[in-house]
Amino acid sequence: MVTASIPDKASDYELVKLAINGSQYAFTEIVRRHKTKIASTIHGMIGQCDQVDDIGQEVFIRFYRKMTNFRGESALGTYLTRIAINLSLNELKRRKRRNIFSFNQLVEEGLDIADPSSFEAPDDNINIVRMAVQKLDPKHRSVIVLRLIDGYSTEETSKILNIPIGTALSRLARAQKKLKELIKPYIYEL
Amino acid sequence: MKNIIEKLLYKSLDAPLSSEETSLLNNELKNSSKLRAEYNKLKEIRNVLAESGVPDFKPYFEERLTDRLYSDQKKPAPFNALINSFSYSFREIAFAAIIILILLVTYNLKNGNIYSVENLFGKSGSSIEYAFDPIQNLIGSNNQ
Repeated sequence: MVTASIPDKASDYELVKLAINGSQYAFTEIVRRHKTKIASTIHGMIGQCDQVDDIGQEVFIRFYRKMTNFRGESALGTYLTRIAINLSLNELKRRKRRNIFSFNQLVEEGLDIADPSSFEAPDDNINIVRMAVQKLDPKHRSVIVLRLIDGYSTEETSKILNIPIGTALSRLARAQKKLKELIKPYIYEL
Repeated sequence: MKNIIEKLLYKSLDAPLSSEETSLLNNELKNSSKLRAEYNKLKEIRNVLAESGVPDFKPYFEERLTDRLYSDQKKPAPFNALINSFSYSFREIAFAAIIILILLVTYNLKNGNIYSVENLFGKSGSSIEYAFDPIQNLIGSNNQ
């Protein structure tokens, strides 16, 4: 195992090359640099649950196993985010299959908020918007998460999702309209 | 017209507009309070989303990941494990077979008068094909 010290300003591509050559430290540094954004993507896609951590681990394990395929043509963050989105979409498909056999479908429409007046603090707006994001269908949810939560540009979002920019823009517009409808009964001041 | 303006409003937040589109949208924003309200509402939703700081993974994420990765590496893959167990079992059988073969060949060479392939395998009057082909060997023995 190579444990030589790695300069702080080493680029992601340099770290990948070192990790390919067996540096565990370089791989840990890659994880440290990108884990927050990956957590944000997965959390945005599947909501707050135990699977966020499991999928996060799976993202880095998949990357580790196919590291040699990374040619540095896209940014490492974008590459990892693509894996995170794909794994999250798989999880959503699994949930959908499970829901077919349960009654969860019945609460799909609208937000599950028993008492809207209980939301008063500014932080509650964030919770309501997050809940609303979880009600979007996966293709609209993914553009909202990447563009508006993770802060990727429209071009990067379209590249990660492998869709044309025009499609990304129309999905963004539709998703925002749907979000507005969903949160309307709960956040009047917005 | 309303649809075009609405499209431009959404597009303006995520992509650059042409100068014509920009002036058209700006004019509409000046004249329509409803459009301005819509624009402000959208901006607020986007701000809330951008601020919805997401909690990180559970503590010790890197450590748990490294443990999982390197313990996975130590475990052989199921197919490889099967191959390994077979090769380990057969290694002993093959080793025993080689010793028996050496003993047999040595015994035959010691007892035989002529050094030939037939004598190596305890055969007499048979060719090397007979030695390795049981059918030829059977035909040969019937003829004799």
